[in-house]
Amino acid sequence: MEGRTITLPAALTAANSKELLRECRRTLRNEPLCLDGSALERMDYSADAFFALLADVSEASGNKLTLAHFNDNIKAHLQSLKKQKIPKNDHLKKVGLLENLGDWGFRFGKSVAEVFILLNMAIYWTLCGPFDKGKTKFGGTAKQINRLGSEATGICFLMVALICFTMALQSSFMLKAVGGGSYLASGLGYLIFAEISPLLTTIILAGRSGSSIAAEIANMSVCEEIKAIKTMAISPVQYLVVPRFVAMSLCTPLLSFCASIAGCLAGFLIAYFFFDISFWNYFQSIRDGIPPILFLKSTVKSIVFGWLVTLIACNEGLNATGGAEAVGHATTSSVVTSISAIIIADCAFSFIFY
Amino acid sequence: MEDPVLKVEHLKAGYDGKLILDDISFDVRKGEIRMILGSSGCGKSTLLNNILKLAKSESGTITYFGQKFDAREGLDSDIRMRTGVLFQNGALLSDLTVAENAMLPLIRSMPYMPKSQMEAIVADRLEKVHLLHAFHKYPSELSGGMQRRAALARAIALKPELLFCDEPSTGLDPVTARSLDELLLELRDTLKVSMLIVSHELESIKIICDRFIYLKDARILMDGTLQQGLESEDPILKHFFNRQCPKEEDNNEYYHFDFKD
Repeated sequence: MEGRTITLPAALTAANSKELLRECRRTLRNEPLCLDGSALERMDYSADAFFALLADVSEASGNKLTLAHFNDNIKAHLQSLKKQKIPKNDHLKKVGLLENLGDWGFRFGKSVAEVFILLNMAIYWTLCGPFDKGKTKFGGTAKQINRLGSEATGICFLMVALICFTMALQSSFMLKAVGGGSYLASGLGYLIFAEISPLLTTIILAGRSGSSIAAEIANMSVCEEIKAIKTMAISPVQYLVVPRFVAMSLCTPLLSFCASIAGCLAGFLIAYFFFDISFWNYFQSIRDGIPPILFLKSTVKSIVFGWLVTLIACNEGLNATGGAEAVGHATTSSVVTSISAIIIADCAFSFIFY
Repeated sequence: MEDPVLKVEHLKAGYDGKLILDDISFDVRKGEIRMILGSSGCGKSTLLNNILKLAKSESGTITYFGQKFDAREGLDSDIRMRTGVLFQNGALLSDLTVAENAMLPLIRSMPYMPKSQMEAIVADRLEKVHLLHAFHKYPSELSGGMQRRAALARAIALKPELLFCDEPSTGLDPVTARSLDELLLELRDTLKVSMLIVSHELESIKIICDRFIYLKDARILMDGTLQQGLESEDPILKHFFNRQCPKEEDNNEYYHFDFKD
């Protein structure tokens, strides 16, 4: 007989069919193949796909596949083997670079617009809601202050203090070399209050509290709880966004200010041990080096950064659709977008304020 | 004849360029249980979401209690407060207790009502759904059936004139499903609530349905009473009401192997 003959084992199973299939396919692509099934007695779930794939290769290559000496049961089974057509995957449509860019631009524009609309609504419900007798008041702000602000205190203080300690340590070598140790306190204080603390605190809040907001609201969206709120004629913005917006508006500047003090204390350790500066002298230098307006600028920055974290997280959560994956996506997207927005806003503030 | 509490006319809706509902028209009369039937994925829940204005419709009108709305507009909050919704999985807010969940519609409609009075109302509603013992419990502490009943208590907190239910007994054991059906009938009889229920649970349909619409290929295949549905000669309805699997033609292609002895 022309072509090659391969003898099948007594049992054709998932464990031994892989190698056999590879060999049979390679053979069939080049020459006719005869499978000798005289020893074959048992087949498992993988055997159907084994014979189907070989039949497909035979049809494609034009080389004949012959099944010799198969028992009647297996013959009958293989004669009823259906051809399965795997449907096309529409998700794998090729999209061009321009289309991708356009889609990204559209989604970005839409998100920015949605965040501004949320800001508008949140400000309305925060400032006007309490004075409108016809409107319902929902509580929950105190709970959010505790969850989003108070519980983040430790990590914010620790991170800001450690970074300020490192900064002070590194700058101390340079200042010592040029004899400028007395400038350590004022320089460090200015940098902490103006930049480090508002930026770092809100970045930590974006990772901790923002992700928590996004995950919680996204889960509510996925579980139809937002729909239920709407059907009760309750605004999801009023019920969910406003308590978090108010909580973050209060907590962010407070946390930022307190973290600045923690940062200054960490810097004092370097000033004391490297330059022998006393506690009172150190804080006197900081006080002299920081103009009072800087506190206002720092507070404004912190509030705006806090708004960005809250509104982006809420928007991601409210727009989540699907299942558990949507919750994960909303959380990740919220953290990444918030941190990017904070850094962009920080650049803008640097131009405006300093 | 009395005006229907809900009238849907020529409703058209879809998403991603795909038409899900096409020219849907039906009504719900006072005190009746109207059901939306159809196979899985035929658009039953989409229809309910469009009627509740939780999804955007393309065209059509919806008349609630004699007030006509364009299907593309939002829904008046006064109308929302005259209706109640029971979602498929209950959709209870997980950070609130059962009582606080049921109190939400009351807080929204009567912000200045004393809390003690609200609690008394909620206790009455929870008693109606036989769940008074779960007053202070959180949703996570309840079984699926109890969550569904708690959600029902919330849906009827304001004694709505029209109650929407999305697959109320799906996923429940037969005894719990039956008790929920009995509860819906009891609410209809005691509170005179009209209901629009989405379901494909045959047992429930046979117990509670007054009239139904059957959706097929984005359109209404049949609009009639339960009796008319059961006696229908339409093969699709016959299969549905008799729980039969339609025989499909064998269009399959089979592999041909060359056997040699």
